[in-house]
Amino acid sequence: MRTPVKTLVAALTAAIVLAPVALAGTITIKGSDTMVNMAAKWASEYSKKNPATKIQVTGGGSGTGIKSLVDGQVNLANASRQMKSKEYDSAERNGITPIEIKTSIDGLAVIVNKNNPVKRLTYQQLEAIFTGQITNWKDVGGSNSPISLYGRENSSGTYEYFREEVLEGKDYASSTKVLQGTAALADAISKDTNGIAYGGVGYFATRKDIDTVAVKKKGGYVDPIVKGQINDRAISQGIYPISRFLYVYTNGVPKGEAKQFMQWVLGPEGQKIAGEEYVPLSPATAQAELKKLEG
Amino acid sequence: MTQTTPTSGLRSDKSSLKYTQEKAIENSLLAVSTLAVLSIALIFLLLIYQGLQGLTVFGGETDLSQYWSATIEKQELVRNPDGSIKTDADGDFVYEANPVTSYDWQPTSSDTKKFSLVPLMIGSAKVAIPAAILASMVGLLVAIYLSELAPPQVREVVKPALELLAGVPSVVLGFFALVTIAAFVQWFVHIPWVFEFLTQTPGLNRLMFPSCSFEAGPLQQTCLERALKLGTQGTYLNTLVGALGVALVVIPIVATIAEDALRAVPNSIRDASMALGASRWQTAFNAVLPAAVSGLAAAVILGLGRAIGETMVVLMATGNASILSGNVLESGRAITATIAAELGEAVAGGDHYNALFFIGAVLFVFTFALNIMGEIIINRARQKVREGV
Repeated sequence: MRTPVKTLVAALTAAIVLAPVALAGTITIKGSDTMVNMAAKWASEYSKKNPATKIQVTGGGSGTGIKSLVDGQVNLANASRQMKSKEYDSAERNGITPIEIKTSIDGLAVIVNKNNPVKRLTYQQLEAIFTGQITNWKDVGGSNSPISLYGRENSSGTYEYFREEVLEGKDYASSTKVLQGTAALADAISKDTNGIAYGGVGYFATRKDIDTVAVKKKGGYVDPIVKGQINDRAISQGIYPISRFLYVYTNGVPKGEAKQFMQWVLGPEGQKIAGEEYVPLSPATAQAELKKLEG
Repeated sequence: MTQTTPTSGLRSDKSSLKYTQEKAIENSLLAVSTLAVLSIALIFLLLIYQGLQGLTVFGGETDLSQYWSATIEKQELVRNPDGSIKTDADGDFVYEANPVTSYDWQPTSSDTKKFSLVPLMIGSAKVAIPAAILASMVGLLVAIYLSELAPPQVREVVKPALELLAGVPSVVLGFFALVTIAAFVQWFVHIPWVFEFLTQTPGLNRLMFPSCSFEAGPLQQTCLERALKLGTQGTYLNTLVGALGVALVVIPIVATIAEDALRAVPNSIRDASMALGASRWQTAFNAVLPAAVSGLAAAVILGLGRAIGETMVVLMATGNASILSGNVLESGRAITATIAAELGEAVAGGDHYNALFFIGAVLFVFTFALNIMGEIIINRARQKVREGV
């Protein structure tokens, strides 16, 4: 009776002691829901080439990812916005020095139902719509029907970026219906003829039941999706105004496997995957980001 | 038989090893149960401590009145007399700042953070009250049927089925609500006569105004006109969908407690009623029900407590817009869903974090009071039954 128990205890002890060694080949990534598909693709492609490296990718929102990095729980944090000074402060308190690396560019599209006649909006109109000042489609050239607003949870980087960029920092209307994730928004808009929402352009390129709106800041109207194709040129050159970098944050200059992984992400293969979901970095930017990895 | 120690009692001989063992087991059981009670007490203390820390009275940044309302400068569009939007020489929209009393929950706002609990309480009430009413009606009827009228074969099937429903994880029910119940409610309120009834009955149209997702046509036009006149319009995900989902969580709770209460009524009452010539129906509704009324009331109160505390179904099915509207076909943001969605994100110790603990404490006090009330009523009922009514 004694021997099997002893063996079991010995095995468990060994497992606990050796666990960190076995996990050394694991990179943990957490953060932005916008980036989670892209990061998962990076992870699976990279693991195919380097079977020794295991990569775990989870979503949860940019804020959640940054919080996990600051708490030392993950190796890399995906973020669709830059870190705030408050977050840098708490990182410093925990002895963590975040390094910011740009990985790709995301255009944010404003979407409406396929049957909505409104297909172009200015920044001003968007601001007034999402702050609840314009509540009827007829004020922006549509039919006489109420506008139904949809948005993201306040932990989302998309929520904050859109507020700073388009709403000039003003509050969203409290009548905004809050859904969990961009896919849920696309579904809601496809069912609601009066709906309007915003989200990463990559999610909408293949959807036939919703339309992206051409947006005008200065100059002319630019549509982020043209004939079912993401308008790469307009987004990477900043002609389409609502676009932002997607970042990965690391704790200090990455070493070992994390470094190799980030070099691969910024290299041609990683950027090709980035281009499938979003818009890849220009070669010059990619070079500049690669330099950061050298420390 | 000579000099036997009295082993017939509950305890072993004090000097024996067995006694020490038993005593040790007893004490550890006591420790475990104390731990359970203690952890509830500590949770409560933590909630109160962290929640109150954010108040200015205790050195925080939030004034207690901010949890009700705040006066803010709001940028509003200026409109021409004909209702069109006024623009300046460059064609830009003209805004003016107006002081307004805001009942908003905007905890991450970039200028003034707003922490009004009013929309959250409305959201919780819009889910919990309809859910509790529905679950009480169904639960009590099921209990009466099972305890008084059902033949044993039916009881043997229905009772376990009910217990099974109690075991379904609420995230599964939430998914069911999101997919199936939402589609059903949408379909139901858009049946033309239902739609006419809901939107043309004064009073009711403010509480239940459907979304106007008809096929484009005269019916949609009518709906939109009425919606604009009333200033409210329902949505696909709304608090009624949430309430129906929560009712599924609550029905087994109400039914089980109510059934226990009915079974506790002594058979002498049933026998006496039958002997006087009453039918089984008359016995059930006129003799047994009044005898068990306080137990049934407890079932309803505990069900309401559970409905207020339910999180997952509400988070998934209600749309989570923090608005001031009594329309149950419109969205709503419940207290529980707010905590679940935002706590993972709030900076620990910040004003948003403390506010979430504060609303957690409010919720705790509320459900705690309901539970105590339920327990008191149940105890009173037991007492009554023991004394032979």
